[in-house]
Amino acid sequence: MSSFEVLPINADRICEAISKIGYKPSSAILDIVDNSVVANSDNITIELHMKEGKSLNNVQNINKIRVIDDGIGMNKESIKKALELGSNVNYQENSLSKYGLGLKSAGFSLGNRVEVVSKHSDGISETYFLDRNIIKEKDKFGYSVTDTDEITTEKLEGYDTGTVITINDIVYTSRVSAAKIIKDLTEKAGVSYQEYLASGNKTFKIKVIKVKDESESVEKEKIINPKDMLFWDECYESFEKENYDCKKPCKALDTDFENPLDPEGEKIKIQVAIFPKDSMKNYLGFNEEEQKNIDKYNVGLKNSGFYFYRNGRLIKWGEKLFLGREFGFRAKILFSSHHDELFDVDVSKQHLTVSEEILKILTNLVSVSRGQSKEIFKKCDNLLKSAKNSGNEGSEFNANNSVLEEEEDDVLGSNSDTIKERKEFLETESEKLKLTGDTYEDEEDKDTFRRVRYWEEGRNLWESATDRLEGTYVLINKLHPFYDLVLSKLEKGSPERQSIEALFHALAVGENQTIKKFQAIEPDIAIQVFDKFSRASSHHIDNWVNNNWSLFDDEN
Amino acid sequence: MMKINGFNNYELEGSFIYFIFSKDLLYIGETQKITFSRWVQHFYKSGTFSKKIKKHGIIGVDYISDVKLLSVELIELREEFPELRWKTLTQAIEHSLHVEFSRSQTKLIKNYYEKYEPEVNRFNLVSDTSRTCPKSISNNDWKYAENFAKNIINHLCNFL
Repeated sequence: MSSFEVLPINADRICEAISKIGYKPSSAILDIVDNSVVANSDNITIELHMKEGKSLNNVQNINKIRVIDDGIGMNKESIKKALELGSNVNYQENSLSKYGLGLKSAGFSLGNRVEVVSKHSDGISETYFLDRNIIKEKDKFGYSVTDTDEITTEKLEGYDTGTVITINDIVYTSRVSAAKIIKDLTEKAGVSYQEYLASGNKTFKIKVIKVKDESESVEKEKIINPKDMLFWDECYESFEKENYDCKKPCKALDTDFENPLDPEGEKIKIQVAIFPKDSMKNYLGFNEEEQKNIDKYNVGLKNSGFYFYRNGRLIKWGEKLFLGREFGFRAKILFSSHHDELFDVDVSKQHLTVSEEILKILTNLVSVSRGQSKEIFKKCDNLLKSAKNSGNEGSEFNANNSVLEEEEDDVLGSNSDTIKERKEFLETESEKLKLTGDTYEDEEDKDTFRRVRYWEEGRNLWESATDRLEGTYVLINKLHPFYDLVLSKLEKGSPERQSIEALFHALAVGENQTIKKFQAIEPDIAIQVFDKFSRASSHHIDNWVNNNWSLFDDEN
Repeated sequence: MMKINGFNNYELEGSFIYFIFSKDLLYIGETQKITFSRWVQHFYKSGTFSKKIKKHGIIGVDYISDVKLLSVELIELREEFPELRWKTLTQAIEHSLHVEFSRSQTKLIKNYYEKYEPEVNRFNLVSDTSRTCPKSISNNDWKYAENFAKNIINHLCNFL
């Protein structure tokens, strides 16, 4: 039979340990705010009290932090319960709490003394507090009680019920300032509590309080509004490649997936929005309002990735998981307490662990969205490029090669009359090609023979053709996947683009020369051979494209 | 006595999605030739499915002798689209199937695994479309592929 003996606990060391679980000051403050959200508050105020004689940007300038709310409040028993370590409160469905440690660990990470005053149906409570110095002295974990001061009482005066949490004797582990904390909170809070703040009539303020001669004045005040990092309400309904104008984000995914641990249970939601490039904010083709809008999206590495929300509260901002530098990709994963086992959220509610299986699911689900996100960036690149380069594709090659000779050395055994006949045959065949869009954007191009032309016909990547006066030209097919994957990525007129155009032109010249001069076979047979050759090689390069979709991914 | 059957290349052609079931492992692939020619490649020592067994299978379990193969010919796709698009759209449907099974395994668990592999309550989809998933087809094509994939799952579940 086994026995059980109680062992002593060093209360102060436990308090030290729970205060060092990796909170940033702003995250710790928001963890305390979670209690106000859980208490159904309509009004939440965070007050940062500055030390006397310090200004906003001085480091370590905070004397006291207060969170005031008009939530349901607590009676004495509930306050005591809230101050317990690992308090065994019966949390509501989908509560933001998890381990019953938040107030204590967040509070002690900010300061040595955590005070609670609450207004409930039986009036305003006394001040219940946990003080590290007293806990250390007594070597026991416990609370103390004192009268509630006038200022705290005043904070709750306008409310029927509510709670004030005050953190005193601030602990500094970094060179943090009130200005820095207010900036962090302003950026984070609207995103963290987006769902709560958007649920109607909620006011969430952050104030910096200056204390002089025992009187308080508000130095700075910020109102926190809900902020959706996916800008879902502004998104286009889907990414339509042909019509996309690079001005707004697009919805790319809105679905859910099974909990692998409980397939019949509540599903996990996922939304993906994909954004235009940040540099579009400087695109001269957009008006000022459109440019400002793009600026507002703040597209960049920091804001890209997965936003994990537990019970409507942000746990993780822009987690990259398997993503590379995919700046325009943002996803929201919405899960609830039912999925805690799956995501393993830590005490500080800043970190979670994503299992291999969830990673695999997410990889599959967002694969198309990631591709579309890259497409959007390419579209933006093309717009930015086209602003710099106008004119027909191929025009640089044509201008640089206006006097390019295409005759090879005379082949022995070629009859010149037959060559002439075959040349005419090729010219007649070429005239059967339905050439459309034979327009010149640039007047000067009219005088240049267009050896390289782009068209949208047929299945082959290229076709050779002959002009009666000038000779061979090649038609490159913009409908072929090779154009999409490779040619369109290379800037018009770039050395790479011209080199590839030279290869296509050389193939066309080789084909025409062979048909004209390889007189051992009839010209129609030679044409059939080349037709088959073009089809086979175009098909092969199509297969190559299919296996290399991501070849240019790093270019973004 | 013997009987010789021959096929020419054209008779082998078609757009196919195939499923390789083996215990808890499921492999989904695509091919533009009649499926058995592709299946055979999978079971070579260096074949994709053999490699997946090595990576995801339980050591000591004989996966190869307990394999069930199933293929779906995408006749409608070949009728509705030009040849140039067959491969890409088959790959899109293949990927959409991976998405659907990532979203939910319930249908296949109930219709296949409960009947044939009752000890498996969650299968492991070991094929990977990260390299072959088309990256620049239109949204309408994706909707087509998604619906096609859903149809395949429904037909598959009825067939099983």
